[in-house]
Amino acid sequence: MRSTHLSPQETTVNTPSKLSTVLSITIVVLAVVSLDLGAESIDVLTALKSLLSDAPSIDAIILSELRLPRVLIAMAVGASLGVCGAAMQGLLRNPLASPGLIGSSSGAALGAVIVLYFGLGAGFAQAVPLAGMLGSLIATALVFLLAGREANVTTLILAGVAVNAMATASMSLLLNFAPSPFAMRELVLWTLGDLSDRSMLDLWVMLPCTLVGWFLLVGCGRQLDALTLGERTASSLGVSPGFLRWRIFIAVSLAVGAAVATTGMIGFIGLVVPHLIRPWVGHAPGKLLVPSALGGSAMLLAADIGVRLIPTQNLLKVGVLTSLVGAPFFLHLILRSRRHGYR
Amino acid sequence: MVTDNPTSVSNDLLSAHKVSVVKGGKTLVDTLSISVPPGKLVGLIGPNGAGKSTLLSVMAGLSKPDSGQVLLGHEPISKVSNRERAQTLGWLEQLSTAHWPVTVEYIVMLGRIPYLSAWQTPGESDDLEVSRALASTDCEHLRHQSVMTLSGGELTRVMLARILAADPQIILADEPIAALDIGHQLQTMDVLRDYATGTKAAVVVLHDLSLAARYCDYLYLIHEGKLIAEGAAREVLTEQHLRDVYGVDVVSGGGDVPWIVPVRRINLDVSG
Repeated sequence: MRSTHLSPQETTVNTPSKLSTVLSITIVVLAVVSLDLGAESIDVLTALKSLLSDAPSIDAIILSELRLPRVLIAMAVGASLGVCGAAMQGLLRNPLASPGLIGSSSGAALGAVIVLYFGLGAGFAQAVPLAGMLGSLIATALVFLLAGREANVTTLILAGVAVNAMATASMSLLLNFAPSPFAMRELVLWTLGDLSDRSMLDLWVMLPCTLVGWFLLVGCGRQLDALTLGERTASSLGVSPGFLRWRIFIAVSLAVGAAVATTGMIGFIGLVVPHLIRPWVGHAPGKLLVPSALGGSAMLLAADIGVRLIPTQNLLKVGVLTSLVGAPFFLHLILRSRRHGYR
Repeated sequence: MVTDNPTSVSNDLLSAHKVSVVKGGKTLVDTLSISVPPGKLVGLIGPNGAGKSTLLSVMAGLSKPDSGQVLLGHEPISKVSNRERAQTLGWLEQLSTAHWPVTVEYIVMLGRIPYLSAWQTPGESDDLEVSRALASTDCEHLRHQSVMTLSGGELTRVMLARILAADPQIILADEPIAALDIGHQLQTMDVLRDYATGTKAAVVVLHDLSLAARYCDYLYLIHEGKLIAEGAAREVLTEQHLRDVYGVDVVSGGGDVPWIVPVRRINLDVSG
């Protein structure tokens, strides 16, 4: 316990808080860098100061109306994906579980695409995210109904696969019947996952569901720890695995639903982040939750900076970048688990 | 010792009254009654599939019986809150495993969960209990090791330490010595024997009849969900009973250190 540098498999008593501090500083740095990026070059600090004065400058308005929402939404969405991934992996006791497993992501995407397709959002800009959240809740409820009350983990995963397949098929159907190439392009681009052109209003719309989700998840730490010993022994420790499952499903549905409804599908953050952080918290599923949220924020901020720095002809969507980086990582995980054998 | 009538006054810490469990049309446990008085180490013995584990999980309040009831003290166990039940009963699962490569210390600390609220971090008294539990199961040297690197026997001892850390009134252990070498078999039985004194008690499912005879105060011999015999070892582990239940001829002997050795399987149709 004398080691002062961070290293997996060593001291785990103080590292979660140390780790959280390091991640928080990383987030602040990335947020400032992200605020600095854009078509206009502005002085972030002067603009921030001006924002607090009575007569904000043009730079200040660019910052608060265009860049700040993007940064804050990236932080919130990244945190949701990270913490939900950690909770799902803890609940299912499987490092390959992701928040999308219970249908919330594809449900949210389908809800949003339905609104876009039928033009229901014409008079009301926030119809898309609201429909997305509704879609997420419906999809999760369907998974629960399909799996039944006493479902084991395998049945749950299968029900999730079925609902995800149904949602994806429905989206394909809508794309197939898209009235014009332009509409089709709009639908496809929306599903790719993007953080540009978001407003503060988008943030306010997603925030209530997101905060409730976070709150429900962060209080689950101890029960997830107990689940390390399996559901039966966890029950003998006074934890109710059935209740815990409900709680996490609802929380993930709310938080991931709100995230996907706001930005479209951003893949692999929920899978990769908890996995990267796990060795630093001694593999304890409860201690993983908060650092995963912070890690998710940092990773999405970094990815969003990445898409703006990588010179491409069309602007690269952030969801495409996370998938491009995440997929090989996922492959690496599978190969490693095949070698070491996760139980 | 057995009280079939739940209303009769007894000082049993835990008792099952005419408990039956039916699963898929098969009666796994057939109107069994078990009492666990304070200061006693109670043994459940019987062949594979006799219903011992099912009975134990019903007594732990982890599954509901189809008929009959389990009393924790004088209260039906279904009425006891999860938290209180977890503080009173320690249940050692058969082939208990950990799903993440966490440390031994972490696993044993999980035993303190019944005493911690959702946001509370373990304190000094919890650390003390963990150290004490690790010491009494001979696991101190494993404290910082990952559970994935443990042998089966070490893992069982760590899991027992987890239960000791909660200092429950009653320990329910499902085959705690199945994976252990003879040295650690005796050590684990000693731990359970020492634990089940005063106001505490333990119930243990065993396959080793010699150790059951040596360590347990009271035995229940179960076969196909039914009670065959109960009482002190010398009344229960008779050659006739073991012949009927296991279909095995045994030789036995010893005084303070009883031994029972299976000799040959018998064809019940011919001989009996």
